[in-house]
Amino acid sequence: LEKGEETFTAAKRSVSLMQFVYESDEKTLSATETKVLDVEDGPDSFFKVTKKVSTGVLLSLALIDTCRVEVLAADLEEWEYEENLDALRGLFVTGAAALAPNGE
Amino acid sequence: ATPSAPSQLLRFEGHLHLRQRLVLATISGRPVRIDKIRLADDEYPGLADYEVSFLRLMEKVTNGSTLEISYTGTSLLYKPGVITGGKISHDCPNSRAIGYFLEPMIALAPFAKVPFHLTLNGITNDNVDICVDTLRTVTLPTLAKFLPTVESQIPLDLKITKRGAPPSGGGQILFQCPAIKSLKAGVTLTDPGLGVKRIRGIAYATRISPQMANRVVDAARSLLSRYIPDVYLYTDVYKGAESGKGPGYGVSLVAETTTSVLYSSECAYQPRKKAVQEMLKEGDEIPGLSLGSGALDTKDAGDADEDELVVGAAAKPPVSTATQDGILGHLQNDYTFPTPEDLGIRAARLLLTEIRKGGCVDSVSQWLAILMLALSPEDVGKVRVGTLTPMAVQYLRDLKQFLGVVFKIAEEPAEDPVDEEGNTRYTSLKGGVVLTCLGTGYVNVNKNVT
Repeated sequence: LEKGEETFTAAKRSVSLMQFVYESDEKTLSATETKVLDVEDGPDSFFKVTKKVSTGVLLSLALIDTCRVEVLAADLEEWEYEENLDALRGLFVTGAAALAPNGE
Repeated sequence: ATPSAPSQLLRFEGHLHLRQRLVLATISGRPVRIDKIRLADDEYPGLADYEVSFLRLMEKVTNGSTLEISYTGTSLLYKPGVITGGKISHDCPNSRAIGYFLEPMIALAPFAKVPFHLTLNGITNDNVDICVDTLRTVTLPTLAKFLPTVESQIPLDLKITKRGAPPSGGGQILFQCPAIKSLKAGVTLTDPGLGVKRIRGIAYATRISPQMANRVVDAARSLLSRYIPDVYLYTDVYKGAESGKGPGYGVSLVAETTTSVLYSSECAYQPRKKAVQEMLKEGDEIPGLSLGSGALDTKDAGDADEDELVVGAAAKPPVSTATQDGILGHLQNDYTFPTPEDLGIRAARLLLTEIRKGGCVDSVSQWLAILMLALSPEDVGKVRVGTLTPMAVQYLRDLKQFLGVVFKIAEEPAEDPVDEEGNTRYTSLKGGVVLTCLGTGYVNVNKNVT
């Protein structure tokens, strides 16, 4: 029964993932300006333009369109503790095991 | 929603994901119109300088493309032409690094008429865009897994001829890529191997003492060598004309598993972030941040429906990753680093974080693997990723719009044991999310037949 419950949970989560990617409201993940623009004027409102310049440096982080996932410095502080560092040892291989792709 | 007819105009809103939408428009041959580009920004409405520069680059690498930008720059209409390739040179503005411009070109290059010889000038390493070292050591090998073996052609290669540190740049790279007819069929990347077998890295220094690079290497190695002895970090010191226009240093690390899966991290000294730091401390309004206020105002991770938001085995809510952590991270992270050791340690810790995610594709290359799977011949392809990144999720959505490809997304959490104190002992790189799709059978009709 427990195993069946686990399978059900996994299936439920995978369905949720599909729903999340393909069917949920995109605003929750990506479109940072759409939400603001819903209440704004239509596109190309000439009179709203104040100036158009090159910023030179990237001060506005809402402009960021990058594949990198930023990690906060605070989140990396967990690596200061020995137990967290030791927990990763199983993900590294040395010696003969490193030569065979599947350890055979 | 079902995809519309191939010739039908696709419409989007907003400045985000501009690059990938233009790339997909070019590959699929579908015209695209993007409206409301920074419409709400009174200070800097419309396209930014680097986006205009990218549009110019798109015009250079294609033939027959038409591009119309509205007077205010808040709308654009792009009708794609043929990807020509050949010898192209482009000067990237210093507002974004070369990686911003090179990433989409890596996706387009295999489908060009003739092999790519692209020269880009600008900033080679910063903390916003992926650096050229990671592109060379991780992204290109990921692409190579999908390319067929082609003889008598130029190799897939990236040469860094000059380093360019922010804010002045002055770097230069040469990207070469063969033109192919079609991708490999049925590529399956699901086995990350037994574990990480070696770590390589390169620390660079330009117009600054070479000791900076050495100190970065020593610090990173001190943390990584506790796991495996096979850690080699090289230093790359540039002098004279090859060293760009300003001082800088940084490091790029790569871990390789027994099945040649690559995980990467990078970090660069970046003095220009200091202005942002000071603004944050003073509590002033950040210019342009109002555009992102919608993201920042979204509900907290704790309030969110867990079933809807969990992505990947060990994922944080993607809303947080995509917007809050991303934006706040760039604001809060201090890339000025008091000492080179701090920079080296941060890069090493980032690499450990990436290794812990597992999977068969690095976070920064997920989008490329997804794109290549969708464009592969009509066979089932599969890839395992540790945690879906926001960019990858958006790629999945856009691929459905442009090509009608829907991936099967299945979560396969790793079953790592928990010790008596409740701490997880990580023993496997498997787990995460498995993405499966049937390729569209994309054929490069542009390629010259000789």
